[in-house]
Amino acid sequence: APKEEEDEDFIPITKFLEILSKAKPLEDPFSFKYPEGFEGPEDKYKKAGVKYTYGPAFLLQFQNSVKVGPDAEWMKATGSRIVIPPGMARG
Amino acid sequence: NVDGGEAASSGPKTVLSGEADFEVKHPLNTKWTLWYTKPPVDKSESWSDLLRPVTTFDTVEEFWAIFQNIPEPHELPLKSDYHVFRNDIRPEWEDEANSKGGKWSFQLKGRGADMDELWLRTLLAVIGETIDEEESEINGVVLSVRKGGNKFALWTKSESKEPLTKIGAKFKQVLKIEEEGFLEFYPHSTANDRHAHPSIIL
Repeated sequence: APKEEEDEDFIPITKFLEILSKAKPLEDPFSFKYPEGFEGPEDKYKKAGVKYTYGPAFLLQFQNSVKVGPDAEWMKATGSRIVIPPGMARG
Repeated sequence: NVDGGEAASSGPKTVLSGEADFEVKHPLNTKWTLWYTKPPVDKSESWSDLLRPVTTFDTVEEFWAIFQNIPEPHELPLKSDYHVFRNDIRPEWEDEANSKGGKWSFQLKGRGADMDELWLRTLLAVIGETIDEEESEINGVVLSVRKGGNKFALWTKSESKEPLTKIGAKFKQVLKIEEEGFLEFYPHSTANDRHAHPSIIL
């Protein structure tokens, strides 16, 4: 779906990654209490030897919560590495 | 919001409470690297000119931030690939981590609007570690945009039939394949053989 013109809802990805770098990794998402309206990761995906497992339904909850847009700094360092030669774009 | 209106959230906040103010994040089990293959525009370009790492991520939050800001599969040019590989494994069968393994391969006929959705479903299953058995077999996943049909490939570190058959069965569910015979496993040892037959078919 095309992004709507609600720029104040989107923060620049560079800023988002900065906030993210300061956040602490959750030790145990399975026992974490999520805000109302959100479900924690499903127990059925727990594995003895793999610490972090997340079912698709859990992961999809983040799709609309991570509202970030590209900015010049990120495009220069990262986005521009996905080179689409002139005239070859599709969609 | 300082008036205490969100009393229910007494613990640390996740991004689900707002993307500009959160204290905890969701680690993935390992780091992943996104690679991109640019389509060649002239014959002098070698594979190593075309295949480049784009970025890495090791949290759920970072995954979404990146994947919402790069072209969707249907926007990619023909002869391009996305590769998402664990840690620093290169998306090449010569890489030591891949050398004894192979790939589950599926070709999506026609351009199909399904491509974006199936790629996202595949990525979520791979980074969420729900496609693997107890032992980690998955090295990475590749989407190849091709004229004859887009290809999805799940790269594994071994070619042992039993765990791979279980993984293949899950991969079929992720790709929403209900009939038999659409998923083929090719050991990388046959990568140079144009007439290689799959060692497992599901």
